[in-house]
Amino acid sequence: MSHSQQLGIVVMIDVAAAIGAGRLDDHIYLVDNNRSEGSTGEGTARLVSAIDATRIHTQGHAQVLNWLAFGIGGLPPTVPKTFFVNPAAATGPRLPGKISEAHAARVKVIDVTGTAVDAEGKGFAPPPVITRITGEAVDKCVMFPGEYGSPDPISDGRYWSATVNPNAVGLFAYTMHITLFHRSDGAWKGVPMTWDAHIDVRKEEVRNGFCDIAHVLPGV
Amino acid sequence: MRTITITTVVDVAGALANDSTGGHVYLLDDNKLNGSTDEGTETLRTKVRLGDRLVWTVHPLEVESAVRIVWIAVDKAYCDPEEREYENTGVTYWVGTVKKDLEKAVPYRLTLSCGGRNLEVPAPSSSGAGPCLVGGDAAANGQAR
Repeated sequence: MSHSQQLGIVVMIDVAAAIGAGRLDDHIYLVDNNRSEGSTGEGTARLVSAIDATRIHTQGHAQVLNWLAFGIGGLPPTVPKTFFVNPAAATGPRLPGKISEAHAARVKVIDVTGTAVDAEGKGFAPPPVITRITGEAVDKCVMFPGEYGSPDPISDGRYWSATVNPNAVGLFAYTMHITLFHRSDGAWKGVPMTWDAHIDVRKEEVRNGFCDIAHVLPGV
Repeated sequence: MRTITITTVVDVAGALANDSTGGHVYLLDDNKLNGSTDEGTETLRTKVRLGDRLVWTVHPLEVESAVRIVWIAVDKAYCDPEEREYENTGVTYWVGTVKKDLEKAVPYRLTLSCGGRNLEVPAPSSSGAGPCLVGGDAAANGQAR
């Protein structure tokens, strides 16, 4: 049995449809990389991520969850962030978590093929942004989420991540707070929405070759 | 012209471990509102009409893993997609225009390069059921399948 310590949860959203409907139901799809260990609901809105806490003994071994949200009609995450920077625009430091006019001007307004689109941004789909993780699993101290920065070219270098408490076995819900963006009255507006998913923390007896020692004991 | 994006979410490590995409790919499009069905599965049915621009992208679950669409096998009478690069990135997508109305479901096959190994969607073990383009009345297409 493999033991993955990094569990990636990808949140795919049909942004225009969700904004049109005013909710994420039917327009959100979750996938993690732990199906082989028992995660269920992959590719649907109802993901239960299986977490095997059996071999976690120290914080260094802790299972880590990472969340990344994308628009289905957006560019893939493998495109380097430098691709999105408009070299002709004003430069200046980017304030973490803020959308400034200066920053907006630095981002290319492009469609899914990377082609520039008009200033109104038709065809341009800013990616959804996860702003917070809350809910039962957090309240009960099953997982400890936080927003982290990374030099990796994903999600503007910031992403939500959590470590899991291996002693809290069971099924727990959590809530993702996700902001979608759309163009309205000549400006980009953020629309906050929430979606729930679950983690199923399991712990089994540790079994390996060293556990099975009966053959060295005298027969009875 | 309407653009429909069809993205394939791939668990690259899982696909490589099993030497198959079966159970490790999830196809999604942004046209459910207009009638696409089977979102999040290997048998996505994308509702299209004449003149639609279709863009195929690929999303690895782990951003650092290497995955690329290297071929799309589809009836060229309906759509003849070609590979293009996001300029100077080495990252590619496929794009094609729907050339005629679909009177039946048009299946297609993706070849993904996962860590340098070519794997097919649908997986050969999946008895042929894979993604397709559908037009007109989705229910009629289902019966014609």
